[in-house]
Amino acid sequence: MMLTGSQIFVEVLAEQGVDTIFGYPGGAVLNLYDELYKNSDRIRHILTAHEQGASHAADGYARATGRTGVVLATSGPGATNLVTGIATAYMDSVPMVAFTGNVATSLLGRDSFQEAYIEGVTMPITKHNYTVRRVEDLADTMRAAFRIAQSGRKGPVLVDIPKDVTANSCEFTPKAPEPVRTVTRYDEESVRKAAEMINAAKRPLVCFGGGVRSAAGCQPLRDLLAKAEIPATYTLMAAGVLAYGEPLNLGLLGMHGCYTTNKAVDEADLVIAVGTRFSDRVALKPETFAHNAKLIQIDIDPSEIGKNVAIDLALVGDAAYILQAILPYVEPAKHPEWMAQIREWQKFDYKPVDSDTELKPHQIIDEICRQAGPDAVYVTDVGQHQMWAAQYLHHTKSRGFLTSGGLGTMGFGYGASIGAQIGLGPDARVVMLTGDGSFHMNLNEGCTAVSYELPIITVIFDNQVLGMVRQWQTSFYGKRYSNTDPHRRTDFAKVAEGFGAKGYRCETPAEFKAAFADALTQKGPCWIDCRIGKDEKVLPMIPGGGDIADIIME
Amino acid sequence: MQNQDTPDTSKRSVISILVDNQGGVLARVSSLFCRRGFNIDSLTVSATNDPTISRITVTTHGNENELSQLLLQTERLEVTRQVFELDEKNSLQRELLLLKVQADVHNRAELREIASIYKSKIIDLSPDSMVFELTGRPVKIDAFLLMFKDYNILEMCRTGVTAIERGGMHHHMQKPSQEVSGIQYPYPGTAAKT
Repeated sequence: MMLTGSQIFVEVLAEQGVDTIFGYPGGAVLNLYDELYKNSDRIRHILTAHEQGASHAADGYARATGRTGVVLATSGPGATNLVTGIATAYMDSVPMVAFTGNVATSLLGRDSFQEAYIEGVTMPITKHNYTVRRVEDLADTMRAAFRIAQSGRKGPVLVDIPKDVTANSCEFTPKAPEPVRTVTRYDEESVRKAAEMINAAKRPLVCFGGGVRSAAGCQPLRDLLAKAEIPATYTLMAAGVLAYGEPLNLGLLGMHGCYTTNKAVDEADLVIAVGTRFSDRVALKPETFAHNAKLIQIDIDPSEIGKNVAIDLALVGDAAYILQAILPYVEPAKHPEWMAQIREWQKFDYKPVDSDTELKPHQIIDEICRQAGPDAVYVTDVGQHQMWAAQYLHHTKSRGFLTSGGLGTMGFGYGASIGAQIGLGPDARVVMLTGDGSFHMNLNEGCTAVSYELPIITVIFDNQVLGMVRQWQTSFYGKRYSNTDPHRRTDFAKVAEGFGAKGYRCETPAEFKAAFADALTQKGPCWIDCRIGKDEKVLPMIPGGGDIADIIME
Repeated sequence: MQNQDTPDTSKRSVISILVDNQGGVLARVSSLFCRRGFNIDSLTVSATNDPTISRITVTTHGNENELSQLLLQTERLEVTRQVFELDEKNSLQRELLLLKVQADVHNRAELREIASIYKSKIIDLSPDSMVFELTGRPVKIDAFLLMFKDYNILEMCRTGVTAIERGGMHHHMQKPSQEVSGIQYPYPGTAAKT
C-alpha cells in the first residue's frame, strides 16, 4: 500500500510494539504529529515541558519496564535538547530510540531555520544513528534502529527524519519485528575453567553490575551464590538485583560503598565480575583493585573485557546464559572462614547516628521504605541524596532503582520518574529522591506530572547547598566553598502549588512521617521538602584514585 | 598522543577495517580513534571487489593493550564488518609517492640517476622542475626521500599505506554473527512470562 512517511512512521512504531512515546512538537515534525493525532488510539504521546525531560522519560520508561523507550523531538534546538538524555542512556546501556525531525533534504546543510547536524552531534553518544534521506528507506531504517537498540549491549539509536521524507509517499510492506539477538563468544572450555576457578577459590566474591539487571534473569546469579556460598557486592547500577537483607548480599561497592565490600575485594582470592565495567567509581585504583585475586569477567560487550582492569578469564555473552552454563560444573561449597572474616569486617561498617529532632538522610529513607513498601520504584537525581539512596534504601527488586550512574546527570530524576510511572501504570508507586541542587535543574517537568495526574512522590533532601561538591571542598579544598552555596530562597512547597501539585515542608522526623503518609493518599504529584543539615556527608568515602587504605569513615 | 610521564611503549601498527560502503563511515571510525587518543599516521579508503564493502587501512602507533581495546571498540561500531591488525611479515604494504623537485639543466642528470636506481618514474618534466612517482614499502619511500635532502623539494605527497595479506583468504576473528536468533526468552532459570 502507498503510505506517506508520517504514516509509515506510525505503522512501524506499532509494528515494533510501541504504544507510548515521549516528545515535544515543532515545525519539522508537524507531519508526524498530525499522524499521531489521527492515531492517538494506537500510540499514546506524552508531552513534556522540555525535550530533555522527554528524553529522560523515555529512558526511565525503558529502565522501569525493560522495553525500548521512544522519544520524538523537532529539528535544531529540539534535537540538541535531547543530547543529555541520549548520553545518559548510552552510558547506562539503556535501550532507546530517539527520532528527530529535520529541515527538508533540499535545505540540509544550508544553515536553515532550526537546522542542526544532529547525526554528527550524537555520533559518539549513540550505538548508531541515521539520517533518512529517502522515504523508501524510512521503514527499514526504523526497524534497524529498534533492532540495534535492543541487541547485545543495549543503548540509544537516533533516527533523523527530514520534513519532506515525512510528507513523501512510497509503497509500504508490514514486517514482524526481528527477534532480539545477542553476542555469544564463550566456549565450553572457558565455562569449565571458570567453574574450576570457582571450585578452587577459598575467598571468592561476586561483583555484579548493571549488566545483570538488564539480563532479565538474575535467578542464575542467586543460584550460583547459594550453591557455592559466594558473597556478593554490587555497583550502583545493580542496586536491587539482590534483595536487601539477603545474607550473601554485602552491599554497595566503590567510592561510597561499604568498608566490608571494598575490604572483601581487596582480600578475595577470586573475583567474578558479572556485567560490570570496573568504572573509576568502582575500581578507583585499577592497579591495586582485587590485587590478591584472580579475575573472571563476564560481559556481553567484548570491548569491555580488560578495559580498565587486567583479567584472567573472559566470557563474552549474556550473563544469564553464561551463569546458567557454569552452574552445573560448580560444586556445592561452604566458606566458613571467609564468611566469618566478612562478618568481622561488617562490625566496622559505617553506621549513621539517629536523631529524634533533626531530619537525618538515613532516617528519611528508612521512613520512605517503611511506608512505600517493597514494590515501590525509586528514582534519584545525582549527588549526595543519590548515594544515600543507594546505601540505605531497602531495595527488593531489579528495575526498582533508576539512577543515572555512568553520566551522572543532575536533573535526570523527574523526567525518569514520569517515564517510569507512565510505563508501570497509575497503580505503581514511584518515589523520587532528589536534592535541592538537582531538582532546580529540571523541576519544570512538575507541570507534566500534573497534566497526566501522575502520583509521583518527590522527596527533596534540601540542604540549601550543592552538597556533593561541597563535601569535596570540605575534604580536599580547605573548606573553600566556591559556588556551592547559592543562597536560593525557593519555597518548594509553594512552587509545587504553583504547578498544581501538592507541596509539603518538614523539619522533623515526625513532620516527615505525616507528610509522606498524606502524600501516599494523593492522586497527583507531591513534593516533600525536607530540610537537612548542610554538613551532612556521604560516608564512607574512598577518594578518587585511592583504595581501601585511604577510606574516610568520618 | 603520548603521555609525557609514561615510557614510550608505542609500536607502529597497520590496521585493516572492512566496513559498509556508505556515507559517514569514515567519520565514525576516525572519531573513535580520536576519542581514544590515537593519532592516524596514514589512512587509505576505497571500495573492495564487493561494492557494498569498503576497506579502510590505517597506520597508527600506540600502546599495545590500548590498541587491542581500540580494535574491539571499532568492531563494536554498527558499520564494521571485520577489523584486524596486519602482521608486517605476512602482509604486503605499499605506498605511492609523488615528489616535485626543483631541477634545471645542471642537476637533471643526477636526479635521473637517483630515479633509475630506485626504479622511480619521472612523470613530469618542466624547465625548472621534475615530478617523480614511486611505489613501494614505506621504508623504501623513506630511503628515496633521504636522497633528496640536498635538493629543493617543492611539493610532495604520500598516499599512506595500503596493504593486503599474502596467500589465499585468511580467516580473522569475525564480528560475532549475532545469529543466535529465534526465541531468546524466557531466560534460563526464569519462569516464562506471557
